[in-house]
Amino acid sequence: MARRARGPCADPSGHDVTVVLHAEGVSRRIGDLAILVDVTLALEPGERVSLVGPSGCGKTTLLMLLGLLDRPDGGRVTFDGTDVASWSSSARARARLGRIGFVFQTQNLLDHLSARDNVALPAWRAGGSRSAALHSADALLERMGLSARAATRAGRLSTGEAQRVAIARALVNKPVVVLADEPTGSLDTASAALALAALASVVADGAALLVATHDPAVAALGRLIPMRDGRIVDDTDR
Amino acid sequence: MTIGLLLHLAWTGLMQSRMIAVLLCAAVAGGVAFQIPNDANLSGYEREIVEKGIVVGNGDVRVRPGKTSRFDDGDALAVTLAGYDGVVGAVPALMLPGALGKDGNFKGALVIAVDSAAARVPFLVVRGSAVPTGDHHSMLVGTSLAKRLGVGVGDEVQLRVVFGGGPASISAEDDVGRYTMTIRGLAAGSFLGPESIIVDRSFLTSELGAPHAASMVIVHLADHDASRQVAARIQRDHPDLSAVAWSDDSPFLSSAMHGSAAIGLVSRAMVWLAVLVPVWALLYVHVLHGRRQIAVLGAIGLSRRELFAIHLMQAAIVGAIGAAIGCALGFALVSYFASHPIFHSTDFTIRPVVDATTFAVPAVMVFVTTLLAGVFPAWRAARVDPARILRGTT
Repeated sequence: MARRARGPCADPSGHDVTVVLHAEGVSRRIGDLAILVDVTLALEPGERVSLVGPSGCGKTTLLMLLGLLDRPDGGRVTFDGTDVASWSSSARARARLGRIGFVFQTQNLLDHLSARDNVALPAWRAGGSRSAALHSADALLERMGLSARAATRAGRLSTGEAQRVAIARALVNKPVVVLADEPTGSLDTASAALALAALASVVADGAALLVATHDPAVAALGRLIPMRDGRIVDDTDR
Repeated sequence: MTIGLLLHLAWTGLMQSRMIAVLLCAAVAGGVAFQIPNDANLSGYEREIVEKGIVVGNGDVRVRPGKTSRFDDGDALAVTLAGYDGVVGAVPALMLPGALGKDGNFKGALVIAVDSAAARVPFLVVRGSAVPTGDHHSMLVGTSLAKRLGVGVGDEVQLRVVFGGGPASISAEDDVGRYTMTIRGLAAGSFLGPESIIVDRSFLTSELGAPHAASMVIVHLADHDASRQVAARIQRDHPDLSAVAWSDDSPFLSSAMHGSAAIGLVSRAMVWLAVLVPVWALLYVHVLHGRRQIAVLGAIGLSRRELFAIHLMQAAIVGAIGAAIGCALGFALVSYFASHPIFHSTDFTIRPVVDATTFAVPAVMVFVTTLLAGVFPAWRAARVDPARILRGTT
């Protein structure tokens, strides 16, 4: 069984006030298959964590649970000390929109929108102003080296460009937690460096970053959590 | 503003599948364009029925003697009835059985005698001219009767009128008036008109020896739908006579109106289904094809309610565009039917009625149908599970 992350500061209710996102003994089955078994993991603000393990070991499923996209069959997930099990789908959507940035393994952009609109969309929804959202999107795209491609429809971007747009979209609302599934898997070295720099900047701003990766270079940047067969096999600080 | 964002996503999402969007708009436009001329022609049919059966027919309320065969003073009764609220005219008429002959060939017909100067008469002169007031030597002949007898305007014909067993008659022979008259015009309009003989009322009343006699007073109303109420009022005030609304007096007229309404209802139901089913199917296919995009929207934080709204807005956009195109096509079809009526004869022509209702009712009906068709696909979109759709393999 995995151990809780460092920095315990339990409040009287037993919740760890320094932990922004916490999975406690979570399990997830899909059909007869146990995808996650009794997984415990905590993320603190400003912490960088790398999930590593072979394909099919449950990394993406764990990210989905922590990203409030899925619900566990057992155990619980707490966000800012609150058990999210009782949250409505609207409350979960609000948290995903404003507080959690998610970078999918496959970029999952809206192909019919421009790169700029894809990045601006969460900010437009959260802030209500399209012009402000586009302004934020332009700044992030520039950081990603994609200013020249801002008006290009997402469906026409290369895989690497699309991945950088997806990262920009995840960061546009300045989330407190960023969950990234193989964020550099489809990037060349230069693009990967830009993407990692962008992700590192949110950690510097105090957000927690959890990255599922096969890339040793990426994994080496944070606390390493190896997974195998749906379990965390070790959780040791680097 | 969220509405602006949702509209933006609805529009761009719809334009992502242009073929589906075009088919959706075509289905909606087809429904509207079909129903507009349908409604316009049915309204035209009803208007013509009312015009020919009531306005230039036997009026909204038909007042007849209760137990006697005719009113002794139809003029006085007409003046009284003209004073009722909603009454715009009351015309005494004398109707007697008769026959029209040419060269010894006689055809039986109803002889209708009205004051030629009356504001409203139960027929329409379609050829020649009306009989002048006080003219006892000319007549109008119904178009069908004239055709059967082979006579036309200007012909001299023999008229026979059966006055009935009055107190002065001593034999059946004595009851029949024999006259030679000239056909001044041909009449149509009333459902009896094409088969009738029409003379000036003063001619028949003088022959009858009763200068104010009338077998009926034809009452015209401003509102045809008020006929039953006015008939009931007249009946209550004059229990000795019979006042009957057109809808109760003429089974043909009321059946024709009910039939028209039923056809309209069936037609609307068919259009409703013809729009509902393909629009529902296309929107549903659109949602199924777009599940990944919907899941992405859900994953980045749009709520189920917002996803539902986006897809209902797509139905609304399709409904609005389709209805607008349908109205334009419908206008073209109505214009065609106005110049090429679907039914045309000397005395009955169906021309489409063109007013705001003609366009608004089908457009609103199909728009609402499109929205209804969009509810289930929108609900289905809102139920898309981002985790299941977006889950990778690691």
